[in-house]
Amino acid sequence: MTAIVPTRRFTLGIAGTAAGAALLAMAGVGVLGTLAAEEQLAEARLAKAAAVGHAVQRDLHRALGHGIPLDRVEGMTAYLQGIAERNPDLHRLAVTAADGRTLHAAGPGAAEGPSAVRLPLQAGSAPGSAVVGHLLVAVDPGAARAQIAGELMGVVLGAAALLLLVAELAGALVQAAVRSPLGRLERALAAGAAGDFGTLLGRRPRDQVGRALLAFNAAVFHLHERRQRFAAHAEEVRGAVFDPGIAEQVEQTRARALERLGDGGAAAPRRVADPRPGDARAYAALLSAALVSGCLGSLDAAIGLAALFGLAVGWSVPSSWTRIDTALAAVALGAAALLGAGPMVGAAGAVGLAVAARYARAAGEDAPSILRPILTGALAALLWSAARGTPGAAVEAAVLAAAALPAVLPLVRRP
Amino acid sequence: MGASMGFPARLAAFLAVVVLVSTLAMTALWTQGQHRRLHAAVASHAGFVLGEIKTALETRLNLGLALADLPQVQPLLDGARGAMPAVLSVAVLDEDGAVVFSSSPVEVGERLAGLPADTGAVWAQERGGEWLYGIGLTTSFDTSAGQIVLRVSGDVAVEPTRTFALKLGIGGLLLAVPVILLAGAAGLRLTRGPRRSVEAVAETLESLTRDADPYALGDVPDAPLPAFAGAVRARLALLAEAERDVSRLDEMA
Repeated sequence: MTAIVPTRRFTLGIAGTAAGAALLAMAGVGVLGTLAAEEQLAEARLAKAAAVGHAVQRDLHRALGHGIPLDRVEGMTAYLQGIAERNPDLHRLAVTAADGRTLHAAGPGAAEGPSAVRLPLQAGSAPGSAVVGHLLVAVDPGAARAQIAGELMGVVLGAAALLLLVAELAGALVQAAVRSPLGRLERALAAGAAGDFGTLLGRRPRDQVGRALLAFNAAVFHLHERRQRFAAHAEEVRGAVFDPGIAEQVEQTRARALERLGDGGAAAPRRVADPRPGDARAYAALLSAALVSGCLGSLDAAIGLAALFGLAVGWSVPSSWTRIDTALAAVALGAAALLGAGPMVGAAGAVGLAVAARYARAAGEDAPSILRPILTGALAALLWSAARGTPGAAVEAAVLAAAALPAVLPLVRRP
Repeated sequence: MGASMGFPARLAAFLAVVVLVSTLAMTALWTQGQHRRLHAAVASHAGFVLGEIKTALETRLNLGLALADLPQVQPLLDGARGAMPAVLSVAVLDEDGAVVFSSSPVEVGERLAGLPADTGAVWAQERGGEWLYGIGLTTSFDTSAGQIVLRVSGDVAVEPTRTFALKLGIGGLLLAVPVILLAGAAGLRLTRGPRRSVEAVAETLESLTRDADPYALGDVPDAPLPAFAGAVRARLALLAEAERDVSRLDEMA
């Protein structure tokens, strides 16, 4: 024996799968990003090492031009030490003799390896002069990775923002597509078991859930049709027979049967519009994230007032306008974010959130169920903004508002 | 839109969108970070070049010469351009911001306004799609003698950043394909149990209209389905019995 409505574990499983997939994709991008960044940064650091090398080489050539041997250049080590201290990204500076002996050196690392620039030191300025040694300037091969690792907090915050939104949207998807319709089926079955066969369930896609709802509707309709057919047949027989005694018996049989069937199937079953409270969650999460993203950079009193005005408007518009209101709010928020119109972002976002909250409330949803996606969206936007280091990202706000649009379609869908 | 897609299809589409969006979002985040890191590398390189020029010029200033009278400045600036190929020009400015020497002769005499104040450290400023890096010149009496300004093309970090974004985007999308397939398989596996359960509900309900035994199917979900099926079957049986009675009475008449 199993339950009709999947447990919360199923919702958590789907949310976990979605979050795991997102995490896997993000980790993959992270590995690729680290490798590509290391390669580029190594090139940039080597370019600087080459510049440093040429500057030192020029100074050394001046000394060599005066006939001073490399191992007799006074203060060379201190000079190299000074450069290494002023340029901590340089790992090692060294002057070597022609036979490879190190004559002067500064910096903690080794001067050889793929991350080093090696320049020849010549005794004279004429081309073809004898090479009396080499100058080596090395950068730390692990410095790029260490720099990336030091900045990983931003990536972690961005990943947390995405995971929060993904988990919320996955929960909303399972709620809207599985838990909510099966919950309605369970309630309709309980009503039928108690003798009430007056409800047909709303349309669904032709998947397993849709097939179950359709089968329920068929069973209810079949029962109603049989009852109507019987009542009509009995009425026809009663009117057709000439014997009043038999006519009376037919009437009694009909009345007794209908009484035993109960009132629950007397009226034709009606397809009842279902409020589907879970549908507002995805919209609320995305729009809230868009609103916070769009307002973060320029939060002021004007935006606050515009948001309050938007809340009042959204709360008071007729419920039949829900779909158009929410769609317009998302479009207006996206456009306003791109144009940088802060107060309009606040007003449009607040209208959308108020309509969604009122819709959920009218559908019997409790306050935490709609507040949670709103707060999740806002938190995700804050984390993303912290990760980017740039508050008030217009493009993100517009993209999130656009993503909220498809979530509007299920709101107030006709049964 | 959603009305035409079953849950498994919606779940698969959702997982694909999640993976693609995560890939693109992380690519954007990494690209932004790399742009910052590349800028820091360029700034560090510019800082070294500026430091070299500053040392050379201050040594000459300490001989007591005026900035405009310093000798051998032009080769120094041309050499600095060679040390950093991305540099568009290197200029030496006097205290009023007028260009006294420049690797680009057309700049000499121009006045650069709005530059940051000299703090002794290298500063950076974005201006008209270019980056300016500068450092102050100080005399041996600790008085300001002017500034050295390095003009670097704005593309110096943009082009490598674009290459990085493209490389990462393509690599990320290639990685996304197996992740989508893996996530889709995991998602469908998760839905298998509930799907079977709902299928059993559907078959039980369908059997009510076929006069079949609703419990011949095996794993039938728990209450209230048996109660509902019982109520329907009881009513159908009652109707069948009443129909038989009415037919019998009809025949008697």
